[in-house]
Amino acid sequence: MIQLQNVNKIYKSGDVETAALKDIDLTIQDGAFVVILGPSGSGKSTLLNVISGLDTVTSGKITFKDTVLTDLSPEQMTTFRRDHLGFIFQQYNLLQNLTVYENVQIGSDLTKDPLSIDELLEQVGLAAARDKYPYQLSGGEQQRVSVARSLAKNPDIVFCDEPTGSLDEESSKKVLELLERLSETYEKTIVVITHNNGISEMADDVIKMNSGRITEVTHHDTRVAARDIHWG
Amino acid sequence: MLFKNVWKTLGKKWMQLLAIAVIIVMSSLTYTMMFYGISGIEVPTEEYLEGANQEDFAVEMLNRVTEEEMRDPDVAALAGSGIFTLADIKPADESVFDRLIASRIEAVEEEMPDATIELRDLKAITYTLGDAEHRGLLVKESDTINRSYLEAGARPSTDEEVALNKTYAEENGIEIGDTIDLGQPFTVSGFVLFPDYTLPLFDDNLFNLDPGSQTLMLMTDESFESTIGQESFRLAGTSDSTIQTDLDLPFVVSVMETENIIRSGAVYSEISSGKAMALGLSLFIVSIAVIIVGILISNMLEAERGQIGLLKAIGYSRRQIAAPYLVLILIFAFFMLIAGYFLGLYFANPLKELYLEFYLLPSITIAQSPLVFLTAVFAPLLFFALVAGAVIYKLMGESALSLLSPRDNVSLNRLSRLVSRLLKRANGKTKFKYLYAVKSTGSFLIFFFGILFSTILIVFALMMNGAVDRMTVGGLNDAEYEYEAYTDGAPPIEEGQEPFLTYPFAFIDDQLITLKGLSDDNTLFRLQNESGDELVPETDGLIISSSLALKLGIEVGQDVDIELDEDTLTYPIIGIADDFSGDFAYLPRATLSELLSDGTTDELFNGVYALERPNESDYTTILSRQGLIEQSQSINQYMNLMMNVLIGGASLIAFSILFVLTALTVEKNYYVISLLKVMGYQKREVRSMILNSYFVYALGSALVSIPIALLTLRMVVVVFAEDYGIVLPLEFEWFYIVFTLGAVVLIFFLSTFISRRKIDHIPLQEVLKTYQE
Repeated sequence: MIQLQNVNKIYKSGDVETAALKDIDLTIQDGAFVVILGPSGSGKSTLLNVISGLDTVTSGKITFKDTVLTDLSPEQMTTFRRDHLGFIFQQYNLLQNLTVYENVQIGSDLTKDPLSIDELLEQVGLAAARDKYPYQLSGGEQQRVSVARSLAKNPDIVFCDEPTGSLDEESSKKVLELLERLSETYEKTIVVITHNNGISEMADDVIKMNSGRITEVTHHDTRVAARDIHWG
Repeated sequence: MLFKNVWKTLGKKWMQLLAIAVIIVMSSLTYTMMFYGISGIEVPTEEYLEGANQEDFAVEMLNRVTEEEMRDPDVAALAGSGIFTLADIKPADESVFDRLIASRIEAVEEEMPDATIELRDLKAITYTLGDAEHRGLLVKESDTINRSYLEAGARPSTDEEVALNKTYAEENGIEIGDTIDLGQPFTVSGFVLFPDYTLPLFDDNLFNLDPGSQTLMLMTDESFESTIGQESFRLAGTSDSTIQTDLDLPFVVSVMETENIIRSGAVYSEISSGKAMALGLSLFIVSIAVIIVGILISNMLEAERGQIGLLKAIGYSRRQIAAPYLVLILIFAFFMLIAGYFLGLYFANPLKELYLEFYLLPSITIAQSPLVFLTAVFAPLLFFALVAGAVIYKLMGESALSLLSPRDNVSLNRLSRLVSRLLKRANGKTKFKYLYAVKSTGSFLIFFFGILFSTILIVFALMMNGAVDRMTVGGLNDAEYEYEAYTDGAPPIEEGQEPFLTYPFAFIDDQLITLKGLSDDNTLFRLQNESGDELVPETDGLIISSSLALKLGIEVGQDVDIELDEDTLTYPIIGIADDFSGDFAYLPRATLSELLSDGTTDELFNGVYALERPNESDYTTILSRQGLIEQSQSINQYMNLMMNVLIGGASLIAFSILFVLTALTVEKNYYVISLLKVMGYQKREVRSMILNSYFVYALGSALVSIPIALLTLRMVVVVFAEDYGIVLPLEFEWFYIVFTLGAVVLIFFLSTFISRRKIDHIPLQEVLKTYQE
């Protein structure tokens, strides 16, 4: 479980201060599929950055189970990310001179107890493309490799920053289906940041943000299957 | 505005630009320094050698009379009384000597009718100046060929005057009008040069040319004749026709054209090879600089492709956008080349002075030449303009839309595929590590050739370390004697003296050699092989010096034929003495004595090794072992300086290349580094993944380069020994590998220090920005 208590984040640029996060209190349950929704500049990416330790908070406390993340040194935070977090970005961030298999291997090398790469590739439907290079894949396929890479080290939580931002509807739905299936198969907590309202239909919890504040938290008792969400 | 933008972009890359600046400056510096340094001696040298009528060829001849010459009753009579060398005949009966020389000149002129031949009469003396032993070579003034050249003062006009080399005088604080003691006092009347001695090379030893302890001297003919010393003769010739170097005359040892004679012609090859090296070296360095600048521009433009696309979209032309990049890069290169030119000009003078420390040549002030300026500055600038222009125009050629979109993924180069196959079983981290450095074939080749170039220079410098010492003093350091003295008589052997016998007129494969007979109980001068094992001369085998073995390409166990007068004797080689100071073959003294006396005596000797200085009335030439060692110091210091410059220059080039390439790698992989950190890789691991492959490749390249360097240098040694008779005793020690690799490791860590820090400071959030590899 991740807990945020009174988290604030202020960016300073010269004499100008911008409050990107204001008094954020939030709990993310283990195994939940969470969507953080909001327009550009709402603070959703900053929220992901501070939860995942990519950025520091100005004030407040973030805890993961018994670990107070805001007290960790940069090196300890790196170890924490290594052991517990996975990331999927809008840009697929694949390493161009490694094959599909090797790209996933880069993720699995981080842990002593990784998931099977072959099994993951099977799950994302790219078993046959394991020796291909990124330039030989479509955008959707590349994002699926990125999904497999993030899961390879067997993290507790996977953060997805606009994972379908660069894909068409069909490819996007395939990736979301994949996330949905993997979340169920491997029981991972999935946190998706998006401005696409439709994606929120498949979430357990939807956190809406605007101007650095959480404006609404909605819990869904039943989730809509990724294939059936309203795209838009 | 566009200029300002590019200016700022370049400003952010000042570290890389600084490293590139070093390479660019070095390219024009190398060319200018070497070219002006060489032309500073070339121009006056040409005038001097022409004016003084330098010989076109020299005939080295036997110092003893031949069988044919013995048919002359007067010669036979002298030989009968034990006087059979030219040096002994001249004082004994000058008319016989003149007749012998005239007949020899006539014989050569018959073979080369167009040639003008003249006797060159020389006398080697030793004397004490201060506390040190110095060597002088008296040169008798000639009529037409190799006339003396007066640099200052006047030629000797009285029998108490002497003229010396200016460099020698300067190094010893001697001025015109001073008196020096050459056995008797002589007043220095002036400074002279002799065109057949552009190097003060008085014997076979290439590196015994310390201008501070040996000088050429000019005296009046009377003083020349009356001064006691070891006299030698050769024939000097000039000819407009082809020179016959294969004269088959019994008294001829060799006929060599001036260009091939080190003492007189080395300066020609020094000038031509120096010019070629100036051009080749600077071309190599400038090529590296141009390619690195090309890579830098390419990276810079790739990083700004969106911005360039926008400019194109709003109506800027390709030329307008390209101009600031091209102009600023060219301005940068121009100023660096200008800086290199003037630094080169500044260092040309010390280089010229360095040449003149060894070459006995007149000097002039270096004058700048427009052609050198154009070659040093504008030729590379054109090179830069072409490459930078091509890189810039290629990217600018893309459409605005294409530039505004992220770059399509590019396919892999062959090198990456090869490495990928080799690492098939390695883990992802290892594959990532080793594939990154080979991602760009161009960068990797620059990297490899940079390391190769530096390694060859470092290995060469290391192998040269001690080479001069081996050539100059070699066995002298291990010898037990203090003096080596030569006699024409048979003085009694005193305590602390051990006799030896030399015969400098034998041949092996047409190579003139000195046969040396050592006593069985010899303790003062022992022979050793390369491994340090003692070698003892034997009656039925021959020990030869290393330099002779190199020149003839012979090894232990092979048989050689020695031509001794009319006889040919066959001996197996039983050992190779670690001696590079001359072409010697060793036998027991008794054996050599019997050979030379037709079996009548085994007691002949013509020299001794001694612990105390022998009596000067008994010995015509006395060489001090310590004096010889000290004479070699100067050339040793010079060579050490050159080797250090070589290692320093090589290291600087390797440093600059590694620095620029690793800095560019970090810059290019900004997002990848950020991604790895986000994924959970620690800074140390990221540094290792991005840079350590360069470390392994650098070591690998150095390891590959070492055998290449050894093979190259081995070929140079053999070619020099067999074709030019010059022995370069380069020696390889296994620890040189460790030293070379150590140097590469040090250069690597120093040059990547900034890149390592840069990796640590790349923020995690970078990966969230638009990512492009």
